[in-house]
Amino acid sequence: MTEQQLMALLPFMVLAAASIVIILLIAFRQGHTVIQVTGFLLMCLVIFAMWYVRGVLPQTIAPLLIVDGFGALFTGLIVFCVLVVGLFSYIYFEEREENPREYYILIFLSTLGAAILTISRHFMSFFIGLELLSISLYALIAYLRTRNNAIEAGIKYLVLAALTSAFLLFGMALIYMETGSMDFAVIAQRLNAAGKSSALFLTGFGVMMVAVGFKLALVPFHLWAADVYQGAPSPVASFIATVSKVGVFAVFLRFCQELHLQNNSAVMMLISAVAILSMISGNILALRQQNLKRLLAYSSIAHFGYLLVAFLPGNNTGVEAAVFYLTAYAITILAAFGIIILLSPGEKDADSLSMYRGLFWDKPFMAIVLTVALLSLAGIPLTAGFIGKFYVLTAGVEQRAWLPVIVLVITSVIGLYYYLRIISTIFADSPVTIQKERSLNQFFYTASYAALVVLTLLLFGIGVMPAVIIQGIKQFLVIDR
Amino acid sequence: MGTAQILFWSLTALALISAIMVLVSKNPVYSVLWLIVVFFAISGHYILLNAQFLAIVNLIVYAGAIMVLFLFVIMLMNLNTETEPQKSIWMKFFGVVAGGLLLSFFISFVISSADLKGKSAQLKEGEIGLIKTLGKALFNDYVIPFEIASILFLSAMVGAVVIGKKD
Amino acid sequence: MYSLHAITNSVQNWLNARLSSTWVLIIESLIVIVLAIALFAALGLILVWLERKVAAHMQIRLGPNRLGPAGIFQTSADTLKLILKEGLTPDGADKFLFNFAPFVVMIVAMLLLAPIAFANGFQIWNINIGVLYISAISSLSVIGILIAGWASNNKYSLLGAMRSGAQIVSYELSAGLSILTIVVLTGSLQMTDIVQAQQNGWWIFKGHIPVIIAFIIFIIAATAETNRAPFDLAEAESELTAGFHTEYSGMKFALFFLAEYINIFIVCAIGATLFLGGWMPFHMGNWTQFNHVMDFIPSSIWFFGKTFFLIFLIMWFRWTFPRLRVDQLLNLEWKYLLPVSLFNLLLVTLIAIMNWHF
Repeated sequence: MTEQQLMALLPFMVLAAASIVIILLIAFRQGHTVIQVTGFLLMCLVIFAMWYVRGVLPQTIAPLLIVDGFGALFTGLIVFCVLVVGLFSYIYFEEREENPREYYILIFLSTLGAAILTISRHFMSFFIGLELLSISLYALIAYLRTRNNAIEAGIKYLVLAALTSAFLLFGMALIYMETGSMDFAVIAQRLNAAGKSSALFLTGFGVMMVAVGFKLALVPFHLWAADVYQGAPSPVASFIATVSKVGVFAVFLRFCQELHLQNNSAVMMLISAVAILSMISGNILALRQQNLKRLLAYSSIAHFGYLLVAFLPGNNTGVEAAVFYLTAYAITILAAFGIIILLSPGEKDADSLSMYRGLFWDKPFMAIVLTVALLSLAGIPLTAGFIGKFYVLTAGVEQRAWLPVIVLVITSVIGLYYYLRIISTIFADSPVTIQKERSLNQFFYTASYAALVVLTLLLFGIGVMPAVIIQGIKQFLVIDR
Repeated sequence: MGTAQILFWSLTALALISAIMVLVSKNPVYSVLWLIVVFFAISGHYILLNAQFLAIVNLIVYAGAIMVLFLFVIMLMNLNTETEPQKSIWMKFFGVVAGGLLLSFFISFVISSADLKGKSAQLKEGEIGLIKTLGKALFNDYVIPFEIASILFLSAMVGAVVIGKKD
Repeated sequence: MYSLHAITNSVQNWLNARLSSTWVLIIESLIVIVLAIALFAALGLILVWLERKVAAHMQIRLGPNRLGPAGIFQTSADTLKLILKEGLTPDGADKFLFNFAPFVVMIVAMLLLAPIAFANGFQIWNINIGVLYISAISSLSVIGILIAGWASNNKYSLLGAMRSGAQIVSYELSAGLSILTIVVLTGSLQMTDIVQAQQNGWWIFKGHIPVIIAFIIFIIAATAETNRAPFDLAEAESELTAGFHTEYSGMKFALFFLAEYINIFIVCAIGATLFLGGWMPFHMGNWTQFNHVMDFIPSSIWFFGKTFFLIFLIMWFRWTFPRLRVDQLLNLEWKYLLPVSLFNLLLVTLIAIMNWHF
């Protein structure tokens, strides 16, 4: 391994070292505050390391990894999400007086798993990254184990994730059987040489889709989403909604790009079927939800359906649209979960819709942030969500994928209904006041509010001036190879 | 048929029969014991492929450690055929039919694979499974995934401690 | 002159000259099986007698002294009694597994014999991963014990089996790590290579203090893995009557009893091979006359001498240390032995890389 390759891996090594540092801090009996601040600084260090190594990209670390602009982009998004989630976690756990210290180890290890997914170009690293991501998540979901829902959610996730991992391995084995390789590039080569797509490859891909669909909560593999979102601690739910999905989506995107699967009509049929199903079921299931976390889970199913539409063309427009959409979605969902976390009273989470009745009159700042986030999720103009959806539509229309595009438009209108329902609840009179049991150091509240303000500004900023972000994304994707 | 072929086919039959027995055994303890037999048969296959190290590691890890933990838990749970809810016969029937269809589906695709035509496993040849080759591959080409895998175990350990610890 | 190697070679040549290779393989396997069973019977008889004699000696008693000189035939009489006894199967037991368990334990003990080098060139199967093979197979004896405990339908049996399982699974770690120290020094997993590497001195003398530490840990772990006192919680008489074999009687009990002693023999044989040079005679540097005298002693005697020395050591432990509680037992392994052996392995690796050993 050359020096440059090591350099390129620096951000990932820092990420791996971060969890060890936290373990050592726990061993030396440091408090929650110290760990939180150290974790925050370490994540900043990861971002700094990524900036520092930008010159040596792209680097292929044979045979498993490739650190390129694509990987750096997604890793940056992941680390950004972790920064925000970590910031919100302090208040959440401190108010519950649970012991939150091991939580940070698991969060960082899980992040490492997601980051490895973004830079993998081989089935092995794909699988190891995915396992690292999900094994840490099992424990994270069940972290507040005194709650009934937490254990239930953890077990549900564990059993299903283990099962789908088996599917993933089986699919990989079938593709390996067909092509004799696990390297994405070599598989593409062999498939091209064979000319037509073989039944065995399609079977393998279909079986692999089970695992990918499970992690992205796509219909028909979505059954865990609502229960896990509800049962997991809110910061963990936001982590699943952002980091875990971004990582899995990144590797899936790379796989399909490398193999030029958009030319394969059968695969495209499969993906658009999943996309249409996800959009319809996600939006319809969300309609009657009275629980905000469950509602966000169903809406995320729909949103990843939209994302798959952007994914259909497989050209650069599609990738840009997908990355843009993912960024906008991550920011939005972080803002929404940030409000849930900050509002949650001690013993349980603020997930029932009745707790938000008249929020505007009680806590106007939070109500506005939540409203903006929901509007962005619904895709109202001037927010990032609108531009994202617009891009996705353009990509879909360019490819003349009419059916998915029409379904996207119709289901977006359906979606508007339940987002507006929450907003009308927020602005209703006769407010309910949520009592906090204990208040903490003002500093962390200020920091969290500041983070929320930044997220809201980003939502508006991207919505008003998308060109800046899109330029940035294009620049990163150029360093591809 | 040489000795290797005879061994191969009998091990294959053993593996398949015991795998089916894992599923149809009424008592979970028997299922686990049959699973151990499956691992033995698979280890036998590894030895036929001249991968003694993999065979032995398969035994140490699965038969010797993981299955023992399975036995621990299942024996202490005291599950009986009488107390456990049994699926109706129709359920089983349709399960078998659906599983059989899926199996034939996979088999037909696997057989159609162009890459596999006219090839057979190289028995008692190759050096891939020998400890020297494996060690060199792991610590040269695959050193990063090897390290990541160790981090994976770290995360599993932390997770187990977090969930299992007493307050 | 007394080389067993010559005998095995001549048998092989004689067979090869007359039969096809498949038949030679089958006949040789039969010979090996007969020899192994004979060895088992002899070992069982001798070790049980030895145990009772050593125990008696420690407690200033006479021990068995009626049948034959110094009671040497006592165990044969006991075996006869066990064979004639009725083998009961308790009501409510799982009949098949109950009768199957003793054989599992016995088969595992037999499989363990394969890679052991009894003398120069006298070995059943010179597998290239001999040491790992032994740790893999020995970890399987837990399964037999667990089956026996569960199938007996008796809570003492089940508790004993669980204790024994926890104990064997945990102590396997440090046993494996101390075996690894020798593997690191030798650079091979093959038994013959390990013995050959000790031609100019046994590892326990060549490897400095880390190897001595590894040896001590190995002996502790071996004692625990064979469920011997002071680690005999699995059959702690005062708590669990007889542990996992409470319900067994007659020949099935005898099989457990025999397997226990065979296992002791095997772990001691492995200890002797790894640390004390196996069948390698004791040599003193360049003192050739002395070395020649040592070479004159047959290699099989060296091997059995070392093995029986270790067996005596383990029997000695039984009357020296009081039994541990189950939490003490697990603490000892996970909090002390395992970290020490990990660190020790690191030291030995350093020694091997820097070539500091003699």
